[in-house]
Amino acid sequence: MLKAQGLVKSYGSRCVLHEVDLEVERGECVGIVGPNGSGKSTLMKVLIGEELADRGQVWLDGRELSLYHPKERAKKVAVLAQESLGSVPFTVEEVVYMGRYPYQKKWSWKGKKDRQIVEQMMKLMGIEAYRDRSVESLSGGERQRVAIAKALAQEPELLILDEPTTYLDIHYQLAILDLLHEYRQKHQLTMIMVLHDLNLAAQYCDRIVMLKEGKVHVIGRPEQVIQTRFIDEVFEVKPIILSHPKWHVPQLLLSAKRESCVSGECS
Amino acid sequence: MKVYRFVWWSGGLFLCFLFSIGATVTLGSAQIDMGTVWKIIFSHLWYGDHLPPDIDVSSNAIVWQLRLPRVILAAVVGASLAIAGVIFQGLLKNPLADPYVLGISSGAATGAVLAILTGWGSLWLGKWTVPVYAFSGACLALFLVLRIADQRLRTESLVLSGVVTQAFFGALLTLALSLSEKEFQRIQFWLMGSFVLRDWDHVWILLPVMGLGSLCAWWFSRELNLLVLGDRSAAHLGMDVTKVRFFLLMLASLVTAVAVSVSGTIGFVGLVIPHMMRMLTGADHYTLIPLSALAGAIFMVWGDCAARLILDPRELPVGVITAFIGAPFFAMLLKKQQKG
Repeated sequence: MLKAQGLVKSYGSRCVLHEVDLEVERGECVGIVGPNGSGKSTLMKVLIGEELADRGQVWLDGRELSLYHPKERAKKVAVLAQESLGSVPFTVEEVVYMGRYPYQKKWSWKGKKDRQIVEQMMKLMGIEAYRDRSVESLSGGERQRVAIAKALAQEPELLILDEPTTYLDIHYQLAILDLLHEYRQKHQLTMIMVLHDLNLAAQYCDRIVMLKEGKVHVIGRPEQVIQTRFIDEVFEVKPIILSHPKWHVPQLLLSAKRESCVSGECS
Repeated sequence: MKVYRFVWWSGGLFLCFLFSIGATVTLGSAQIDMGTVWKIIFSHLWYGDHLPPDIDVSSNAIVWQLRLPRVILAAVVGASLAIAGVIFQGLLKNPLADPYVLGISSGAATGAVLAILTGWGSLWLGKWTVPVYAFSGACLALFLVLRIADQRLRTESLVLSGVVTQAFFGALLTLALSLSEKEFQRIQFWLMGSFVLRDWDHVWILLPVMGLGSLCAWWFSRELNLLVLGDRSAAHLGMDVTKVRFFLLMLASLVTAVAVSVSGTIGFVGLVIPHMMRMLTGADHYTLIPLSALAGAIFMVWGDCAARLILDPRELPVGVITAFIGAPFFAMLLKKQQKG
């Protein structure tokens, strides 16, 4: 589906990506994790063609990414940024319709298929009840659902998510990742997501890429990557790693350095 | 917005527009009733200049030569400024953007005054001399505003850089005017925005620009919608952001410049009208552009009417009227922005 080889990118003298290779199969969900400044966001931008790499290439479906017309690319790849919907005055339905942009001809009315897909996506995200409400009046979690409905209305084969759950409470974090997971399995959607939360990454991703200083430090299935050794090397944190009692994927517990804190006497 | 609501709104505004034209043409020192006004207009449209015998020559002259061109011109200027306002607000994602606040109008006016005072190039450009100079001035102002403002185009920085640009071009204007005393009064009045002594020629300059400009803007309504979401989101949806943005900025500057070159700098129309229409009918540019154009036309027709009549027989510059309405509105929006 997506293949990247030897990506190098620097801003000025600072090298942000250093010989990054990545291959993502169709239907796979790949998580990208790493500390702040490890190049996650830049890698994202290069993978969707928002920025050009200094060296190296990206292929989408066997064709070089830069050869795609922007609209053709948008039919295959949808992107969900951290806070992709600001305080815009549009209604929910109008925003979801915008996801149909790559399919619309310059002067065409909203077609039947556009309408169907918009309805379907609003229903899927559970936002059809407030289709006529303005996005400004929604909470962060609701907005993110609208943003996902818009991205899915693009009928993408590849969905790229840049920290989709950062500003959400745990209820919405789980709700949104569950919805995406379900949709992915039904429609063979390929996903690449940047996640801050290693525990969530381990539960939802088939494979995890761990970046350190612009290089791929380790790549593999969650149990291969979420290991005390790698976490220590990359994040400089020594966590306790357990197996999730239900899903049997590694989960980490962070432990405070001051043991006396347990009893609440931290002076 | 639902289709029937759009039809309802545009139909209603169009009727209101026709009524406004009829009504404002009847008003003035010589009273001419609405029936006669429409009879004169229709007979000119249908039979050319052959008048039916029941209309006397002087009312025909007042309606067709004096008042109607002025009212139509006011309508077209109002529509132009409203459309320019819609485009600027959408592109800069900023509800306080408007050609006047951003200083684009001042730039255009400086260009226009330069053309009037020097007359350079009028041999080739003919009646387009003033508009061409005004457009160059507007582009220069736009360039300056965008350079001075910070990259993210936040409200405060944009308003401030608009103030700076306006001050600079204002000084240039005053300088130019001081150097040529004999034109001073006339130009000064025009600068504050006025439709005095305008005739059909001015309408024929502005009308095609406004018509094409609004069609182009309408053609790009979907892109304008996406740009309101943010440049990155628009790019992710497959839009060529840089190209579209450049084109639309030029388009808005062109429409502003030509409007300024016939009527002077009339402020706040481009700010108030799109805002009101957005609140009333929603933010989708597909409906916002035509509705704002109509509302801008209506607003300006009545504004000019007030400018003619309030101090009758003397005239006020119409910019005074729009500023009286627009400035408090602007203050209110700014206040709201700071709270939000």
